[in-house]
Amino acid sequence: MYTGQLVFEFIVCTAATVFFSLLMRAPRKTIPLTALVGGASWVVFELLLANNQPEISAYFFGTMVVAVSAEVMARIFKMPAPIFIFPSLIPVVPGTRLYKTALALVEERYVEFRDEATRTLFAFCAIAVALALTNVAARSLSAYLSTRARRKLQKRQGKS
Amino acid sequence: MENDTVLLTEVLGLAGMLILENGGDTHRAEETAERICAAAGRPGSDVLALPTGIMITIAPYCNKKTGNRPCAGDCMACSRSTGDGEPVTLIRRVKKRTINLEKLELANRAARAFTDGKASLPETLTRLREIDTQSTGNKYIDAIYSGLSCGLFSLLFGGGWFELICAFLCGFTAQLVSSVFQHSSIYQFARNFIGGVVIASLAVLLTTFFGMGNINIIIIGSLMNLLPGLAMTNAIRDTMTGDLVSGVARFADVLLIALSLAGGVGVVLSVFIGLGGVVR
Repeated sequence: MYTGQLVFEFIVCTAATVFFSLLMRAPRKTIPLTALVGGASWVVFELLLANNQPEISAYFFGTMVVAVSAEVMARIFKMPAPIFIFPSLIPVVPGTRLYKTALALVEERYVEFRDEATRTLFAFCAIAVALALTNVAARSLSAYLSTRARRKLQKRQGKS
Repeated sequence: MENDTVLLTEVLGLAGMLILENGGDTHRAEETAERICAAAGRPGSDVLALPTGIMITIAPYCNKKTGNRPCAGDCMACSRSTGDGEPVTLIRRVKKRTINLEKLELANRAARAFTDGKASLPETLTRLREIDTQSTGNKYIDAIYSGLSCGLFSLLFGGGWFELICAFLCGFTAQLVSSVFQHSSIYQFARNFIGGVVIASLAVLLTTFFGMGNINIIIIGSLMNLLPGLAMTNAIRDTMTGDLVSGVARFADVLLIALSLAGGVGVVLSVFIGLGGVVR
């Protein structure tokens, strides 16, 4: 895959995410960042696929980009993480896969349906696992940091 | 600390409903309601949120303190519900489920202001009512956003300029049509089926009229904002975190939407092929 193609896709994907966030009525100040994250996750996804990585890991790491930056931004902006996850996840989420699966079923192409359904399920599982893992990690990290801060405070108060 | 059960039920019901209606997951709704209850001095309260409704049992007011801390719902009176008053149960139905991140954020902020002690119960209630009655914006502008994102996605899926313009038109029309049906009590199945039919027939018409363009790319690009990709992700996440009922309910929702969209597109395409058209 050429760099020019990647840059073009990044720009297109970022613009598409901007309009998607507007449609979801994301808070205005979050839109530029979520759009850039959406573009970046698509680039990661495409790069992994172009380097012959399995599809599941492409979905997993594409989602990882979104989830990690969403948790960071949620702490910075003091907003719930889904506000950042929903718009920027749109490019990576295999909605078209879902549609192709259902179309195969409707058009009675059962062999293709079986393949597509399995792939779709695993793709969604990869995405969900990435989201859940990041959420758990972020929660335990912030819990750890807050207890450490409290302990430090207590120590300081004990000294003085 | 206020000791007003009626006011608290209204705040809880409205906050839970706002979160569930505007795309929040059930876990968030439950957590928010539990925090509000705890901040109002009723830590033994229980919440069960589903995609279709929320049930809350508000425990009697508990003022006890164990050591330095307020009761966390584990004192004798709270866990056995033998406190000063009687427990109150509240059920709210959630009838529409859309994604409106701004309302979600505002509801979350209002709830957090109350739990941090920055707002009183009546203030929170008026704030939540304001959020609930907020207008949802212009449907034509929404349709333009939808069209633009659909067009750009078709570009991303390998289309050219012609596909971009076609997908813009399809996404624009589909969003308008679905916003027309949004307030009538038509089934979600029919709404998505009609969306699929509109998109597929427009794509078929445009490609045959101009004799160019890839019909599959146009259809896939324009379906992007009707497809329940996020709902599917939430379904699996809910199931994994143990919210089994809401996970299964969301699965059913996703299956229905995907099948009705594909059904709408499939009907149009099979008629088109039957009339002698070629799907390229």
